[in-house]
Amino acid sequence: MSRAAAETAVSEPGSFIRIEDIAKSFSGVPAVAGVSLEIRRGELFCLLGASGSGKTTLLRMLAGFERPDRGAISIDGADVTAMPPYLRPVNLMFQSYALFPHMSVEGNIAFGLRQENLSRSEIARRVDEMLALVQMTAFARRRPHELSGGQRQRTALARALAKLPKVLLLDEPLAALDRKLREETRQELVAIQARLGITFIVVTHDAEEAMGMASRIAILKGGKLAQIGSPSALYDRPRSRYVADFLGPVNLFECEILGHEPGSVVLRLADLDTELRVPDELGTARTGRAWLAIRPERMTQSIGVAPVNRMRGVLRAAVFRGESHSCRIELPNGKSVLFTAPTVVPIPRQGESVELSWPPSAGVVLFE
Amino acid sequence: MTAVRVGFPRILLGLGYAFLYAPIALLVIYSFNESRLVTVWGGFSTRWYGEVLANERIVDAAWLSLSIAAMSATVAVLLGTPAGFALARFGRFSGRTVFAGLLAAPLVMPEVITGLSLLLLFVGLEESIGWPNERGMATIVIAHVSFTMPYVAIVVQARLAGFDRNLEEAALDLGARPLAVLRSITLPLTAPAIVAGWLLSFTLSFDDLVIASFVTGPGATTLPMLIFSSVRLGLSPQINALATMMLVAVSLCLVVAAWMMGRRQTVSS
Repeated sequence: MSRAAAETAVSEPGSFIRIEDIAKSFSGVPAVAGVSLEIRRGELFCLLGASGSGKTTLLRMLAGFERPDRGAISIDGADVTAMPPYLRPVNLMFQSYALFPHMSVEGNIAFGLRQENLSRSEIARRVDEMLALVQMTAFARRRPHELSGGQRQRTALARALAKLPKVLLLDEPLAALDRKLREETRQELVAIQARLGITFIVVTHDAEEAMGMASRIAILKGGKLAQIGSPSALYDRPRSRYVADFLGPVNLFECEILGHEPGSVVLRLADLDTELRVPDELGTARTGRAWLAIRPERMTQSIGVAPVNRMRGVLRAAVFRGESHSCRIELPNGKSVLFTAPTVVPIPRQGESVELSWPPSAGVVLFE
Repeated sequence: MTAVRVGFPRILLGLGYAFLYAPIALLVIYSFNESRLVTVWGGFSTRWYGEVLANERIVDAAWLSLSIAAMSATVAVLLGTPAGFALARFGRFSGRTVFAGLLAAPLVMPEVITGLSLLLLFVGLEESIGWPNERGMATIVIAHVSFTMPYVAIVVQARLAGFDRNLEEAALDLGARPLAVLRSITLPLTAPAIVAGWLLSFTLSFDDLVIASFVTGPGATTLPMLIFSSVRLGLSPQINALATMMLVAVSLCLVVAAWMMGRRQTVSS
């Protein structure tokens, strides 16, 4: 119910950036093959995809460095498809940061402002503001090669934000940082975005990173849009095996849909000779071959009388991960099933039999 | 045993350096020779330096050489920089291989052939269009540009090959128009290579004897030509002093050029 409400809000009008069926090929090889997207004002939107999915090309088309072969892009009601990068109300934070090596931190941040007809004092004021925003005031006079990775990242962010663009594009903003700094910087980015209210579009290949900061995510695959939605919607209700697998570990069971009952689907798993019932969310009357997807952490060891959805196997491996154990059981037919057991729950020894069950809502039926 | 192992390569190295630099060292030492006889040491003196600077012919020739070097280096930079950009930036445009080959040809062409062909060109031009009606400074400058320009092109191309294109895109993204990007990003970051190319061209032109001899006329005698002709009449301590000054000037140019080219590491990292 609440999810339905959230989805309605998402699809409400007032789309700020409208991408209509754009495509781009490089010497005959399509990089983006017909993508349509609508992004709302003030959103922190993620373009997520593996390398070669077209996410960077899409970003470069938004920035104006690539001209789409077809389709249109509009920002805040204005068609920018043919607009050169220097006229767009968009700034890009490069993955390599691309800081000007012959300018100080200050000079880098001021560069964009100097292109406008602003007074010296106004430029100085804005630069100071940006330096304070990214906590770089103490390093204003340094040259880029005198900065650490994190400081360069913050300088690049300040430079891209200095002109207060309508849209800020971030190309893999955390990729060049080490692990600890990455988490810190992620939180900072989210905080700065919330504070300035500027629409952020982040390109990343890291699903965890995307889910950790985005309000919505578009997953790209082979130059096409695979699915779009909030992180939890994509994680819990993927529409394809690709999306389910891309966002985290998942158990996929091949199954056959036997029929429909009011509100639920009846299916038979190939690996398991039992009939199962899962909520029929798609409302389709499709039958035939499909896949049932269940996240490892939604599987629990059943104690006593097991409910309807259950499977029994032998524990083969358990890896301690701090707050949980990642376990693998083997079904009688040899198929492996993953499940995550909270550390507080004792797990059986290897080779012992385990019965797993899951709430009906944990299973998702996928057709592709 | 170990002493021999360490010592032998050192001795070879010393011999190598001696072979390369002993003549030059000798020249420098004898330029401070008091004696009028070049091969007899007569005590330390700087009098020949004073005489060189007082000799009007030498000063005129030096001034001509410096002017020619400065002009040809400047023109070489103006022509060679765009050529370097074309090679580094325009991808595989049609005719690129031919362009690159023709550009590099003067580097390997024997100077005698370059000089002769340019002389033929100037003579032919004079007969057909009446220009240049007199060979001299202008013809030497043109000749020098033709063989120094490739050096500029190659140095600029090398610099641009290591240039992060994202920097220019970032400038465009921040609202700079293409000309502003060229002025505020591309040129400042390429400047060390352009300056290095200018200094290299200057040195090459200042040094040149062969090509200048071919294309000069009666009125224009460059410094190397003056030195060469006076040495044919006999060695003179004045020429030693002059050569030492040239040596210092040229070395200075090369050191600065190398330093400018070396700056790319610190700039692009």
